Amino acid sequence: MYHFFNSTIEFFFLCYGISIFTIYFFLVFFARKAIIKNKKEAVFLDVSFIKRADSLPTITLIAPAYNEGMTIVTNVRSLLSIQYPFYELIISNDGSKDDSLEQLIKIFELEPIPLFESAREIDTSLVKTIYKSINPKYSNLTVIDKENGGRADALNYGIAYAKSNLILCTDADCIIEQDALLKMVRPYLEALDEEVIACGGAIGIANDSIIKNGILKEIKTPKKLLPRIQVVEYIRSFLLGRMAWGQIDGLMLVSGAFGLYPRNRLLEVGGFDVKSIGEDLELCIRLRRHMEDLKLKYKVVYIPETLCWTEAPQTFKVYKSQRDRWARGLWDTMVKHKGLFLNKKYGKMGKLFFPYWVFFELGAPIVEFLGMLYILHHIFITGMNWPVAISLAIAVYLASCVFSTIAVLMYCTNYNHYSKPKMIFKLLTAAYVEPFYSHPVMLYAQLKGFVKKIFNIDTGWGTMTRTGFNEEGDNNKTDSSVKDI
Amino acid sequence: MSLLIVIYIVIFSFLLSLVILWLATIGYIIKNKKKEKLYIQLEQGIIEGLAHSFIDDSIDETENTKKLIAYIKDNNISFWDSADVFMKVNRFIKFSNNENLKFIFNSLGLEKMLKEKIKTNDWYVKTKAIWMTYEFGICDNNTRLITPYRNDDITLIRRESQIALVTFLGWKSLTFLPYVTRPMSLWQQIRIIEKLHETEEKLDIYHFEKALKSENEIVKELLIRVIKSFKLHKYKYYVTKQLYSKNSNLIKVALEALNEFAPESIELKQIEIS
Amino acid sequence: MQKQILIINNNVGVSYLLAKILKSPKVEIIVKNSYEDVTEIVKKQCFDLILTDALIDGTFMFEYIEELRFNCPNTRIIVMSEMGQQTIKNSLKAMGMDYFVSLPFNPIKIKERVSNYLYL
Repeated sequence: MYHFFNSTIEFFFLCYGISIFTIYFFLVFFARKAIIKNKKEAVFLDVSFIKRADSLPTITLIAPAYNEGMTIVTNVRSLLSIQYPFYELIISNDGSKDDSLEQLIKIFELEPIPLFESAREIDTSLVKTIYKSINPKYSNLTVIDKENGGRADALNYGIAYAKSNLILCTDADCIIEQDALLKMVRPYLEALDEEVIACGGAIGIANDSIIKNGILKEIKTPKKLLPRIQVVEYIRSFLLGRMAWGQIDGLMLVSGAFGLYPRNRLLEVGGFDVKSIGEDLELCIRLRRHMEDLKLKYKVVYIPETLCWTEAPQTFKVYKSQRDRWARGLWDTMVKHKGLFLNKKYGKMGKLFFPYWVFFELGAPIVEFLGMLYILHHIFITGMNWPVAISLAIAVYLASCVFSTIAVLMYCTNYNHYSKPKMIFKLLTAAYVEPFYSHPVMLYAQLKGFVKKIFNIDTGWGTMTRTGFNEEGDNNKTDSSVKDI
Repeated sequence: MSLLIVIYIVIFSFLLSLVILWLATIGYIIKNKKKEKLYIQLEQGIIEGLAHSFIDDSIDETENTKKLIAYIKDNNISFWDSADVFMKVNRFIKFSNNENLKFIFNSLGLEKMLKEKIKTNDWYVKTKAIWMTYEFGICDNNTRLITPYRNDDITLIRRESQIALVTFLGWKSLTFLPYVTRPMSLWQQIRIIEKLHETEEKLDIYHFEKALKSENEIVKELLIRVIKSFKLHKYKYYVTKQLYSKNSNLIKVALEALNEFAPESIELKQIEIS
Repeated sequence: MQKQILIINNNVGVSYLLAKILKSPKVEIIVKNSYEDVTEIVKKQCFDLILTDALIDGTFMFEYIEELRFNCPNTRIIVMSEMGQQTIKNSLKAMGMDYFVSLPFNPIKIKERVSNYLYL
């Protein structure tokens, strides 16, 4: 009986492991296909042609800001530098306690404008004042000053206030490439009978890169190991993961830091869920569900190029806080949308993609933890077949190295960001160290997040201490803390 | 075969894969550096030759034009590489307006090469060749070559063929619109309108009004955008009529067009009421 | 006296081509390909004509034209850009642009316009 129980458990772990590797293998295959297709199609939709077009969809870029006083002016200038003929920028000041608003008013010559109640298509916390600039060069800038309600709430007011066809949601401290909108709008321009309901772009890590006036001048690999490992992690998840899922219409997540949505669909689903911590994943699933309910053809697409740059946690304290929050957001979303699980009514999303997220995204840390407990049980109680155990561990480790190497190679051969040999070498060595260095910490943080959800321990967004991007010529690190309710 | 042997084989496979991937990475870095260098040289060479073509007013075979042609032929520069540079420059200076450049294309045999590429089975090569044909303004007999692809199953081939026909035929190309059954993306509509703007002919009322009779909603959407772009106030009635369509997208496009026309307040009230 | 033209474009090939097209014994042409180089040179010297792309990497379009106008109040500014929508043109005019050329351009017309500005 005991032997049978043991064999069943081992068989489960074996099947789980083989399933994950098989899925990753297919992700590599589909990602490669999608990248080649994307590159070929982009030839016929060059940004130069898009720039001169007249009937382009209008875009509103909404960036919530909370206590960004140290960098807000530079960030807004950087967002104003985006090259797109029909766009406006809304900065949603979410009850900042510092002088963010005062700085904006002074530098961009803002004045209050009348507030119309009818602009409230989504309920949000109280809006105090809306500002526009009296200087014509800032005519496309709007600043909304509202009471603190969280990131989702700040975005929702912007969505309700905007009048454009599309909404790009980002963060005020993200650096967006100047031609990002021209590239992000491509799927909407090329859409035929399937409506594009969300478009995501890759997010890169700009720690220690050269930034001037809020514009990324030169990309460098982060000096510290932890953010460098995250560069590889982002490349793996964006290039292999999302590109592949997009190819088979299984993309369920568009990053909150950089996602483009049709405004009318956002209003139909009520915008972002203010109670959710993983509001980006939750919104994407809700949008998909909405389109399935309406029985309309749709797609969620992904642009493989890195168009948005952000700062990754440099210390384990901040890293743990971030991964804890992501795990809680994932748990929240899976529970909220549990009705999708194996539900034929939702087609492939219900039968395939949502179950994947439950088993392999939510389930992976749990299975890994149980695996570790099982190994410890063997070591201390029943005895371990050490040659097999060690060989298996080496095989699993090498598999992770192979996937990371493929991801880095695919990225470097298709995009110019990390094209120097030294950079590629640094990224690969970081990838090979990851399983021992940051992965255990990430696992711990994820499990902590799940425990918090199981036992209803609410810690909100936590404190994400940023060191800020180092502007060229600035040797002092800026510091800003972001707290939420 | 014992479990341990199987695991050893797996480990060996992964190690071999890693070695291959590392060698591929090194190979790519070396190849890419060489390719980049060559491309920069090619770009500089072609731009130098083109610059002289613009300066020299004569369409006779000039010394510099000869040098450019010889440079491309002698260095075995691939068709696509040189065509890509021409396309890049074409975004800034329109080739089809310049006789010297047409002479360069003829001497390089670009027109003949494009005709061959259009006939290929590779969708990417075919589409690129059709695209270059209309962007470079090489249209002698190519219209007949491209026409069969206007209803192709592959979206990009279909799109570029339809845009090519509009480029070559101008307003007369609207005659094929009523027979369009497949959807037309917003981008295709934008490009068609762009090409209609570039055509030297004036609005062909006969062909335009023939297209207005189409019941196809995709065609209606395109025609609304044409009316808006060319400010054809005479056809505002057609746009207003689409407000009563069951197609919400068509209504949206019609409203945007009417917004441009700044309708009289009486008209607006009528629209609101209905 | 030689007239001075400043050509600004991020693309080295395009600015080189423009410089060749406008080359003349009566004209000295200076080419700059980055925002930093442009800001440095306009603070040091004045030009008779500036021929610039509206979209220069590293800066915000309207502020860039305004800055050029502020540093060179008496210089004619011709903006050449692919982004030629009416709203953009109107805003650029308000920032101090004298003339707008949509890309792709006709080299003969550019030469004529430049001659008009330099010699009339």
